[in-house]
Amino acid sequence: MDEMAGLASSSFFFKIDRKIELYLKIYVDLNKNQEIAGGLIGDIKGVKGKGIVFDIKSFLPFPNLASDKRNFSDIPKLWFEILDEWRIFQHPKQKFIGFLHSHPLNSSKISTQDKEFANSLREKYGTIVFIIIGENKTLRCYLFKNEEPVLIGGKNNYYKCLLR
Amino acid sequence: MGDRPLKTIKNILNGLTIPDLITVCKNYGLHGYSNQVKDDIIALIVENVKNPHVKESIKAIIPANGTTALILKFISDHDNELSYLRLKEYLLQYRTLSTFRGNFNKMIENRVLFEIKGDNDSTVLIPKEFTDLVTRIIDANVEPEEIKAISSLKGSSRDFGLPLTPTCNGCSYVDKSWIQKKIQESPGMRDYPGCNLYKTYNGYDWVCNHFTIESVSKEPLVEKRKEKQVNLEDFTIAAVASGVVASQKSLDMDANESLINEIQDTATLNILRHTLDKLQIPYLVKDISSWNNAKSFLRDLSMDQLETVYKSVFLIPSFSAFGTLANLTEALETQGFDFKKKDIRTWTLASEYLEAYSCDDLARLYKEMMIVAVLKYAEKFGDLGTLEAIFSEEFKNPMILPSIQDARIQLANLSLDELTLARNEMEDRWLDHMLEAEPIEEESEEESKEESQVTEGSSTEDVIEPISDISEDSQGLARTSNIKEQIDEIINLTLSHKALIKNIQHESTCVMHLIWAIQQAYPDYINEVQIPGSDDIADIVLPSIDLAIEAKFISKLKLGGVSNAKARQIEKLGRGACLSYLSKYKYALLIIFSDSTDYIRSVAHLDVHQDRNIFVRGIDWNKLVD
Repeated sequence: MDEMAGLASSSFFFKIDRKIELYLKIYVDLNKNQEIAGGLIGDIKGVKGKGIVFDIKSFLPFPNLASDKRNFSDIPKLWFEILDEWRIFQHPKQKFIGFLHSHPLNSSKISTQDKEFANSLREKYGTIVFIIIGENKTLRCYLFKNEEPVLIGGKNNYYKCLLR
Repeated sequence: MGDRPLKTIKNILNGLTIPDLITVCKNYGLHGYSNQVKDDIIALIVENVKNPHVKESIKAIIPANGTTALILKFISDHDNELSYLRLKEYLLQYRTLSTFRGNFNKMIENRVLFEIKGDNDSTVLIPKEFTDLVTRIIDANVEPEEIKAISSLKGSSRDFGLPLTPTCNGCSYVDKSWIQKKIQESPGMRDYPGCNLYKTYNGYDWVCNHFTIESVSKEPLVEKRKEKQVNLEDFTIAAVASGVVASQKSLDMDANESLINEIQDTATLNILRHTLDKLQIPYLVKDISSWNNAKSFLRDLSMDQLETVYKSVFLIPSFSAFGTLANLTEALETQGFDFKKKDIRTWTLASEYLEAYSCDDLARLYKEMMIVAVLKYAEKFGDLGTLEAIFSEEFKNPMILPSIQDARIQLANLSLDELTLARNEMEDRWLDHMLEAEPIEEESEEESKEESQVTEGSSTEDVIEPISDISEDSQGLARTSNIKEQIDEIINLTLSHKALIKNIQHESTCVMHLIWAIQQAYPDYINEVQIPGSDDIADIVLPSIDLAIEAKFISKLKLGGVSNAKARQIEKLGRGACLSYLSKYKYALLIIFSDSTDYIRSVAHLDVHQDRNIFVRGIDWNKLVD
């Protein structure tokens, strides 16, 4: 895959640490029939000539509490507190930069429910990326800088990053 | 406040040069600003300052003192924008020029404040994005008297904030810290022996410890003491106030010293601090800044308080460390304690239940629990030969034990330490006996490491010998025919997340992770999961599967600096716990997490008991997580 997929927004893109992507791949493969989700930790930094990159360094999975594991139930607020605690102790120099979840049986397009959730995160954490892994190894990364998200491209190796 | 919009950081940054912007990036701890065009650097700063975690970094570079807070307050009260000369004029009413300049310049240097130079004056700005940050600093550092004074300033139309409320329960941590600091800095703080943190400040009476600060009332201190004699008994304040503390109890100093030494041997200063917080025993930070201070602080406590600390630090944890819930139940019954099964359903509940008893009662109970444990192992052996050998080898007291009753009598004559030793010896010898009967499938460290590599996924092959000929009733068969694989799955999922385990610092994280791992393995059985940290994990799993699972979290506070032998002892305890669970459940999984930085010896144990088949696996996480 191209190292840098096309950019829908010229000044933002994302980057997933290679190990984290590999880990994600294994994790998603292990849970083919259920939705997985978790918080993304990393840095928001500049890259010469490219703009701003959301550099994903770590992923903390959240348990899927839904009775139907193909969907994800509401995420307790406490888990974000745990995530924050984990970040402070394990990645003190990094910050919460987004959220990732899968659509095991659907495309990686964002749903209305996803948007609402992402906007609630944006209100709390500022600009975030919202990554969705869909069926057929596709991935979309939405940038929530404002209420309406924009698709951004990025550097990843295993998933096919879609920009439409 | 006027109606003009506050200036955003973007507005402010647009007026800066690239070197200035780079300084901002450096001060805020941002990355990737070099060789960027101005717009990109501004965008980088703007996006980052929205993030609360970056804001925390920025807050850290603001000097936390009253002068800084006053400066920020004056500016924020003027729509985040104020002339330097006016600011200086205000501040000089409360601070010296050098104090003002020092703090002001520091904030300018750190780019918390921005200054736009004019011909004769300059404008000082706080970015709109910092408003909440600044508010927190003001609330934490501006003294109430100053707020009142500021409020009464001529020409000020501003409401300069809320007066300090008489109760601090609703205050943020920083607010509490501020009050605590003020109280501790006040003279006469140690007026009341045994009650170090009772103090009048700002017209109110405060009781505080490290985390809790409460205003007792607005009443004068003496009156308050009289009123609160009963309620504040725990703090011995009543006794102090009525001048009877010296005659309150004739203390046995030797016994006190013994307890204090036991506490010191068992606990770290952090554990002591947490215990005092938990027990709501007031103390000053400096009281437990070293063991010398802590010991003299403990000596100042009443005997009751000291015993409570001793129980909490030493006695009660000993029950879970060296006993099982089944043995505790038996001991309670034998000793005639009044209890219901739900009182001791989990160790958390059991600990709460035990807190109600005196040290003497607990010592008696603990001794009985050890006796029960030893006798149970003797029953497992089928004879008393092993126990006789222990008497002979460990206590140099050879004897013949014709019956269990005789054994009980002899055990009752042992001290607590001797009984604990006997119990551990019995456990070790039982383990050896069982492991001789069935070879242990124990991985080498290299194998563990190799297997756990994330890149290799979660292959479960060759981890544990298959269990042969599991005979189950028809209902249980469907559930348990692949239970080994499912348990394997838990282990491997746990392993695959070793990075999460590496620095687990809190029990809730540990439990959350375990819930997650169990869900992967038991998606059909777990329909209801509690919020992490809110309940004992066994409660989640036990109703639906025939598996005892317990997550133990051993913090570095407990493990720090312990010897390898101690770590091995913990591992043995894990095995022992598994064995004890196997008396009740068909499968037992015990995972012990540790976050010790100097020595991590966390183990995951899987004991599958089918007749005499036991498979044990020990994993040294330290080797895995490197």
